[in-house]
Amino acid sequence: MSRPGTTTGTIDFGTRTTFEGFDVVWVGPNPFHDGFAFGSEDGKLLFTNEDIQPVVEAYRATASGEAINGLAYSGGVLAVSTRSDTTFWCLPLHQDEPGSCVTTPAGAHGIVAMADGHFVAPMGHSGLLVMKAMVGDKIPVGVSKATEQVCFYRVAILQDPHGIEVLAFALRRAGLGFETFNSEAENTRLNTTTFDQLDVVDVCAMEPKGLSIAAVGLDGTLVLIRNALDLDDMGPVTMRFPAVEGVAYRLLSSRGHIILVTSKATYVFVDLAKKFLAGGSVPIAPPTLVMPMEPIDACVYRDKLLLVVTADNAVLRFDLEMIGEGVPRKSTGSELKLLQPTRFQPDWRQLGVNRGLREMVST
Amino acid sequence: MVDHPNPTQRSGFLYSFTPKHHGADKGASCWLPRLPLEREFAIFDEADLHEIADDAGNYYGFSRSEDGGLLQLGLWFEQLAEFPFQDPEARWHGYPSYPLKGIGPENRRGDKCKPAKEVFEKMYRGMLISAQERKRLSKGDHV
Repeated sequence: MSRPGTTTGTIDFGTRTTFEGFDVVWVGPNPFHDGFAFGSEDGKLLFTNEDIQPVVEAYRATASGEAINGLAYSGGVLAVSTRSDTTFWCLPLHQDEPGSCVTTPAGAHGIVAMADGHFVAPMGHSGLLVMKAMVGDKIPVGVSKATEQVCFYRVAILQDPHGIEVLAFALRRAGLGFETFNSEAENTRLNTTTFDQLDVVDVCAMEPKGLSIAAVGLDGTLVLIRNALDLDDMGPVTMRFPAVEGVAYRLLSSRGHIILVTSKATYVFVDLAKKFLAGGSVPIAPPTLVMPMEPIDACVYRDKLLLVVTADNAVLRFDLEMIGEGVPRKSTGSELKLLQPTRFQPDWRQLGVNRGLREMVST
Repeated sequence: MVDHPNPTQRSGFLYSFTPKHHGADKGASCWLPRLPLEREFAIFDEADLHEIADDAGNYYGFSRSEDGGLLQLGLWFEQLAEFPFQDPEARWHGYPSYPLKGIGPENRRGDKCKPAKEVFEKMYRGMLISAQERKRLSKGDHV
């Protein structure tokens, strides 16, 4: 094990930190303390403080040694996903006790933790992994497959006014999927909605508590929904920004902004979610901060910071408050533009899909 | 089964287009119907030309669109194709390769997901893919 070296410099609206000896491919919040968690191409985890200074040595966190693509923590269990496996680390309660881990021999596109201690991981065409965090030799892991051809690609957690969690899925050609989370149900109903040519690659909640959601298609098509459980209520707003370049990778939302990460740039649509949720129409040309880069992955941290991992082994850390208020400079290429969307009204199709549960045992 | 008339440029491998991976088996990964058969063979030919193979001798390939991105090859959104190792004189075939290791009896503990990460490294060293594409693909993400 080793503690990777870092070098940090200043950029518009934030900092740029490069890693040495750690091939970073994934970033998320540190589930234990203030700061961040980074995943490497060879299956290592690194925890840092908010200044992106390592606080512990990087360690191998997956059985396969494959690139980390997700991390979640709940009930004393840390879950780490790769395209090859999902590893659950049962952390010791006391410092002198050894930890233990179990691995499911199947890959996922990421993983999230629910409030009741369950983990949910989208596994592409293999289905959806649902498991409860617990300590034991064999942990029952439910993997459910939809009755229709559905690819579980990304998942976001929404919350209704009563605190009940709703899962929102990016289902590629099957569009968007929504279901109220019920870990006890053997069969659940997944409501999907899509239109021809839509290929949804990411989804995100637009507010910390609520059922509003934003989704993005591979070609940058942006879908905004006020209520995931009542699609007829105003209906999805669908648009494209012709000026957006590259393949859509990630979609995030924070402080009322929508953040689209593509293969060529990160676009911050300033106040777009805020104005949409306030009931007003989508602005004719929302101010958009355009930051050319080669992103790999991105996350929002506590509604405060935007972190983007880039191809040159760097992490860009942007202050979202500064972006909201900021006067852009052009020293590093970022630019505030008025991007005009093309709105359209596709023929949305809705479908109910059964999702049956079958169990597979982790060893 | 349809045979391609020409062998590959480098190794002289012969190639066949199998019904299983062209819609006959709904449980198998299938090539996009709109992808011309000649393009499928070209992907294999390039993989052989650049020797993009894993330790077991399986070859891997892809195809780029006019704008430089990686084309979707399969019905399940695959962007890479696998051509499993064949004995000498046997005809080769291929199919789109989903990036995740799936669930099933064929996926025993200890088996690697495909393509192995060394394959991505080989593609990168050969300047066939960028660092951005290597890192995204190695996570199972689209590019």
